[in-house]
Amino acid sequence: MARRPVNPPAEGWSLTIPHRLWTELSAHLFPSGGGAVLLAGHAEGARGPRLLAYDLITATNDTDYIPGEYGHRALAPSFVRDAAVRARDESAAYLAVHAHGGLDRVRFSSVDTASHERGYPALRQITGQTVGGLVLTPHAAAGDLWLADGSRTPLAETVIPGGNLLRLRPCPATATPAGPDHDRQARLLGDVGQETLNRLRVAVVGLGGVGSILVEELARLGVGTLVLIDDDTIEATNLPRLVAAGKDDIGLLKTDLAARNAQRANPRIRLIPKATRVEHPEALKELALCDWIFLAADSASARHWVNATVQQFLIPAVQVGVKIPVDSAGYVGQIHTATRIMLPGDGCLWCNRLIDSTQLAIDMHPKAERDAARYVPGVPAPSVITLNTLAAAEALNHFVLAATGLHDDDHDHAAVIHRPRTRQRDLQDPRQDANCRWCTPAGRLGRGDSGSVVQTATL
Amino acid sequence: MDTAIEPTAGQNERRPVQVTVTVNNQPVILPSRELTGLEIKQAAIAQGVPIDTGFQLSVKRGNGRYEVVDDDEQIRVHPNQEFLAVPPDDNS
Repeated sequence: MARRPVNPPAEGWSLTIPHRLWTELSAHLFPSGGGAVLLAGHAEGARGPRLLAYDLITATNDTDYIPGEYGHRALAPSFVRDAAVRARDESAAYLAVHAHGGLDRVRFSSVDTASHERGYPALRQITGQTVGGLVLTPHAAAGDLWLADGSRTPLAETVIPGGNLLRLRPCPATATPAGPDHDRQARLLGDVGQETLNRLRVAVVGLGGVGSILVEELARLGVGTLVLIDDDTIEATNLPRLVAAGKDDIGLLKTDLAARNAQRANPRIRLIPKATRVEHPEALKELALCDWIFLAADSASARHWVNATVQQFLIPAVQVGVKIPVDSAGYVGQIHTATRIMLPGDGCLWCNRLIDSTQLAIDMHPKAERDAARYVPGVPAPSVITLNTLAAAEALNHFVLAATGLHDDDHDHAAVIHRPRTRQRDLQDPRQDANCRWCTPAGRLGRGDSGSVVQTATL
Repeated sequence: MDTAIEPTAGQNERRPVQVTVTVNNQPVILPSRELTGLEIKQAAIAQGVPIDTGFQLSVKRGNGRYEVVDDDEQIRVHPNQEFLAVPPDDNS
């Protein structure tokens, strides 16, 4: 297949389609053509308002997608009515989708535009929501949005967070030559790949042994904006694992050290430090505006809130961790590092039993109560910088290749489990509960601002 | 080499089988061809594999990848099948 254009993030309205919905939609539309409606939630984004597709209603050919009165094919009125009623009842945007021929460029035909002008004012009245049309080729997307406030605007980009983080536009972006600083890197990533990194807003949750490495490398890669979240301060025992930390830094906030390191690595970087726990509303608000999240925090609560944000706001993430089991007799068990890709709509941390509900309940109490609730006083887990590096490197490489469209397979989002003692590296596909209340349309998937993460999370 | 599936009862009865698989590279004998994820972990624990029932279990599929198996998910096992069990609370 021809290589897809790499498009840096665009300013303006965007639509994000979870990878599974995109796969289903693509199979329905290409190559023979078809019609469908996407239902989408709303959220603010770093570069403009976002529509978050959470469900796909495909039109059955010759029943729901029929010969058109004006154009070649059209959605049947009863199909449109039922989809619009769902959009109204679910306070969702309504987006009618069809395909055109071609590959890298697409635009609405005059017949398409006339049909929007004929039909969308009424649909907007019925639903009270944003309505619009989306036209696709396998490598391009154009959208015509009729907003609830009465205005009309084009869609700047359509984002599909899968094995690659695809961004589709009506036509390919033109490249801005990368600066000399990143010349060697841009020879792999391309000028548009480098520009993509520069326009991304990436969060690192947890700035300890793994997070410290992530921040250093993200800044050197040229990521434009970093959101840094951790409420902890540096202790003497942290120093061997924190990049460029010294004795004078003991007592300093980890966000301050991370910010200092990021700025040294890249003076032009934009930083948003939040010295709070991730569930603090300020931190959650910043997370929801990101393009990518690295989860490098130990607690069940961090896993829960990041998982919720990934699903509700359709933001891809990677969870990174290391386990070094050592028993009281000093026996070292199977060490493993885990790098788990978290895609919206595709088997979340709850589905994979990676969040302990008892631990989560304890984590949600104030610190003194958390300590009291634990039967055994906390013993620090072993931690070694080389193992942290192994997990962080896997996560960073995945991110760079995904952001610049360089993974061979758009669908591959397996976790990586390293077992360094036996030098094994395994790929692990996630599982999904059919009615998960986080990562399926039956739950909070893509619901965005229709209820904050804080309000909707009942433990 | 061990015979992985061994009949242990008379021919006219439903014959229980023993299937030898590996969990974290350690051989584990399972008492049936159909077991849940939890039963596989319990068998491994009983046979000395240093895991607990809270670990996340995966089974190796034909494509060489591991697929997560839930506690109450029943799977059909075959001789020499490979499982991976890791604690879910890795930290950073």
